[in-house]
Amino acid sequence: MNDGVDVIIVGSGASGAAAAWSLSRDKSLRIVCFEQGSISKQSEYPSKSTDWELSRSDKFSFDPNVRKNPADYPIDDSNSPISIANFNGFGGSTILYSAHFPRFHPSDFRVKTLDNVASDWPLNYSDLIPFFNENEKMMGVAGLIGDTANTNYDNLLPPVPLGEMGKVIANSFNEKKWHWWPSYAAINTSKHKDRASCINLGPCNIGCSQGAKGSVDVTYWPIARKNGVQVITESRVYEITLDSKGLADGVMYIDASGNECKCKAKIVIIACSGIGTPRLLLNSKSTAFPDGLLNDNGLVGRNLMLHPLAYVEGVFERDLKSSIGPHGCCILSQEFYETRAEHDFLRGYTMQILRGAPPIETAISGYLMRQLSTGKRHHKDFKKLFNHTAGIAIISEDLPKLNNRVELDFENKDSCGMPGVKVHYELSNNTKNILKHGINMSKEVLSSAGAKVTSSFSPVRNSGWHLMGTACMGTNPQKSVVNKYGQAHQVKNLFIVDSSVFVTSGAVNPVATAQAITLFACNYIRENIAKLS
Amino acid sequence: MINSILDSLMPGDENLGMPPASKIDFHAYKIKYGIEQIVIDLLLEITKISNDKFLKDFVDLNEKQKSIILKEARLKNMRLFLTFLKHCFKAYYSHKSVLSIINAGSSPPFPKGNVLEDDDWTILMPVYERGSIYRKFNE
Repeated sequence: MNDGVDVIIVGSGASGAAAAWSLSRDKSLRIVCFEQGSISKQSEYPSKSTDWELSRSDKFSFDPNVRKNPADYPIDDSNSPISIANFNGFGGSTILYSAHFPRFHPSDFRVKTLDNVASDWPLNYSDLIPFFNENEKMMGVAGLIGDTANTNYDNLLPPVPLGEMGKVIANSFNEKKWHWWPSYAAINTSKHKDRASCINLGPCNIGCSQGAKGSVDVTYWPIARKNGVQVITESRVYEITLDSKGLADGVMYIDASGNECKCKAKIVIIACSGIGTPRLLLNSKSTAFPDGLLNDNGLVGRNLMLHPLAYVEGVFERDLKSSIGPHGCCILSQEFYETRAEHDFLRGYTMQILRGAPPIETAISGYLMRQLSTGKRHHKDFKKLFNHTAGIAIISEDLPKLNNRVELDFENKDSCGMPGVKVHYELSNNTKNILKHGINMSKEVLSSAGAKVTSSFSPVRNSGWHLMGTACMGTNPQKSVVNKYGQAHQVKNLFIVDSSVFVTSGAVNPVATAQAITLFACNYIRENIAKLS
Repeated sequence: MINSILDSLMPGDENLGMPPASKIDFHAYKIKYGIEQIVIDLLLEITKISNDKFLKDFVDLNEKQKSIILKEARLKNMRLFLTFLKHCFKAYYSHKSVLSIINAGSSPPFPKGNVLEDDDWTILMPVYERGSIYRKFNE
């Protein structure tokens, strides 16, 4: 690659994969993707073994500080009530995600105009519709058309089954006359694009051994690679370099053998997540950008949004077989998604109804919550809990705050000597009020369904999956890092396409919107490739 | 002694068909997950408490006495006791025979998966009847 390529993509996760596929349709482009982790084999996912639950506190933990794979970098989140979750490997965090796939709402892009908070996005929901549709077709998304809280979808597979527990909760929402809908999930509920259909095994978030979950290693990547995109794994990009004209001219990386290498390119695309992307930018210092690439306005790493979560759990007297089915996805409610005059908060939240806990989690959390004893009563207690529980997760809209941020951590470095990151994050009063309201409403739903509410708390510490806002888009170069195409204001051939560019967080899982934005950006790149390079 | 501790924590329940924890191969689990030192530390702790309190080894105590000793071990070193107990739960509830008895669904490697019955979407009628609730505005 000494002669260089046309496009370098850094990161092979949700957005990197969508970018690779989108650009690879132009067969004349030479595209290389760098991934710091390795390729996971479906056949080796722990869900094939009875002790699969144990892998969640080991190699398949979503906490990089627990997992400690060679590809992971240190994340000091001791200054945050929410710990960071991710996966560094081919396919990125989609390998471990639960595959929730709702879209942002149209109002999410206009929060300043509608509710006088934060800023409006420089693009509209309608700009993204063709790309949402395209993305859902590629990823294979289950759901049901006609949702009264959302605009219509074009391509949906049959919804994920409700199961007995889902029906009971759904009826409770009906009784309260509140919105609910089957989850939008990137899960093949029927055979789709040569991938098998879901057989309701449950543990989606340790890798789907069936290949039914739409992780990008099995959706976008096979086609992108067939189209000629080269993926270089176990190679860590540590700097984006600029030429004398101030344009990006490639990346520096450490290859799998530990050698320092340079790869030249005409266009560089960063897709390393809301933590990894600012880390790479801040580590790319030059005369033009002494405080980190694109950080002339001090915004790189700022405005970190994490979607603080609350959790409420109820126990039913009846065995509802609640642990059966895709663990993360059952139904959702967006009754309280929008701002209401009677609330003591602005914006809102989604309630996600989760399946019951698997056996080991049931035993451990039951013991810690004093619902399960040791000794003679143990098995009776366990029987009352297992398959009898339902959980509601409340995802709150997280408004951007400058002080919520990511910084380089020079004291803790990765296996290549690149600084780790420090996360500084606190919940706003608005968020706290959202979560409080969400907990109360969830308790009402569970009680009305006949469950005894056994626990409720917020914020949930191990829930920092949604990493947004740290290189935000906008029209004003003084107040944003990139424009609506993810194109850096200061370096026209450098693009950021992951959820770092989010202006606000919405109150739903970000991946569908992040990928739609990626496809929107790559459409622009394809149409303007001559000018850009 | 380890079997005696396991069975005090998780004795069998004939009515429910649940085996005592000693019937699960905890030794193999201990080796696989490298928790030998945790087990040794707990055994030492329990032996000491048992001898201090009843002048007997744990295995020679009656059920009531064993229960008292385990409670005391928990209070004396909560972290060690909880770590050990979590491993007991992990070993027990990842065992194929136990998963089969508790109806955990299709057991790995999941030859067939689990069946969830087809849904009748008339359950959504109240939501449909209420009409659209998403926020409309002129972009």
